[in-house]
Amino acid sequence: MSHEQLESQLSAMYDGELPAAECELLSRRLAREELLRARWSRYAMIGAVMRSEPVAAVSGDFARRVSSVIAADAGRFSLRRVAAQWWKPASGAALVAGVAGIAILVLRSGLPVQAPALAAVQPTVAAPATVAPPLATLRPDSGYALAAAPSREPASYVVPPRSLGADVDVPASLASFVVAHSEYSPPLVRRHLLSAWIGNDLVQTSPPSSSVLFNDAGAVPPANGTN
Amino acid sequence: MAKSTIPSGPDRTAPTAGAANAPPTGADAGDLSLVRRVQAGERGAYDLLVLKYQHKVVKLVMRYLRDVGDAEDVAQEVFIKAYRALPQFRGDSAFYTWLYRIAINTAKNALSARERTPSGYELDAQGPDEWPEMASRLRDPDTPEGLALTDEIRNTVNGAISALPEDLRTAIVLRELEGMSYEEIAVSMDCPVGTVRSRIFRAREAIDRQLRKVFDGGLGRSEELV
Repeated sequence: MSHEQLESQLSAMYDGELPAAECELLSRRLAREELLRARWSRYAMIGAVMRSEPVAAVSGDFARRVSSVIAADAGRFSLRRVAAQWWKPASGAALVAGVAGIAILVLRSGLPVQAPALAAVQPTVAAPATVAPPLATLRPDSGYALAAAPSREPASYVVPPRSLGADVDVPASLASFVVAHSEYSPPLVRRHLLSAWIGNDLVQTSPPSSSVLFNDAGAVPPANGTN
Repeated sequence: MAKSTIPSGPDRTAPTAGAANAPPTGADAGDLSLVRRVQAGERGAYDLLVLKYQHKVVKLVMRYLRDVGDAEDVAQEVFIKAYRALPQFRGDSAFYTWLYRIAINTAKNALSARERTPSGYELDAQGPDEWPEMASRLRDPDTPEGLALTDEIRNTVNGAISALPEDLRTAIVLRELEGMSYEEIAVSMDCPVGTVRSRIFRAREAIDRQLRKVFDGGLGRSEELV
């Protein structure tokens, strides 16, 4: 292509009248040929002067300076975008995990918190896990049964720690929280939370069969532990 | 009290947004084509927009900042701001109308910062009339050298146009002053579009040849100015 053809293309491109394919090729040449860029700039000045628009002469490297700042900025911008794309899901997951963690802590801490209050009502529980003799081995004249007979209180029984708060009612607000949370939490977290809660509930409602081996009357003591 | 240099009548440099909904023609179509290429990721196309409007933007900023170096710094900021905002440019108005607004607001903010006035807010005036107290502080930025250069450029361009053959002059005038497309000029001049393209190119070349003489030795700053 002759230089004149190239310049003719430049003039047409300046007017937005060059086909897109030719524009692309010429753009590449413009990027590396300073003379063509200067000519493009003078075409702009000619048009402005013809329209009596105010123009000022600018430094020859003005456009280059702008271009270099934009190039540096573009690098930073793309890095920021990558960071933003990485942080978005990560922060979302962290938020969900945080809410789930708090919910678990609240659920679990709810039980021991109420335990002291319960202890006030439930004065004595035989803390040492005394191994009681098997029922079959007991005899009416055994000291075990006789010792307990006058007060009709069990001499000893085993209470696992979980049964301490066995009859604690989960506050309605907490139940509402878990239900509300389950609407937004991922299935895994939801299942974990619900199973933890339901598991607790089962412990609370089911008879603590393993918690009390026997009392002196051979009956299961009341679940609240009052004896 | 310094006399304001803000023209009382319509601002000749302010592009009108009246044709906002009309399809872009002429220079607007060319700009929009470049803008779309930039938006598609071709950064080189933005260089062409900078080269195209640098003289006008620097001149516009010089209405607010006397120093040419300061004006170029602010103009640089204008182009960088515009580039960052370009993804949001939808083409509802002409590119230069949009760029003009950015330039005015950036220049006002720069002037405000330099005069140590509180500038913790973004000024968003659409024209000098909306900010009279600042407009009254505007100075004539034209230095004798700048005026001489501008006059030289004008005289050269006007002289070159006068010397053009009639067909070339008509073609370039219809293009640059009337903003007609090649096809419209072809209809108007009753010739093929290719001929229009050739005539406009030859007219530009003739004018540019004279203009290069100004830059190449006329005022002593030629090597570093375009």
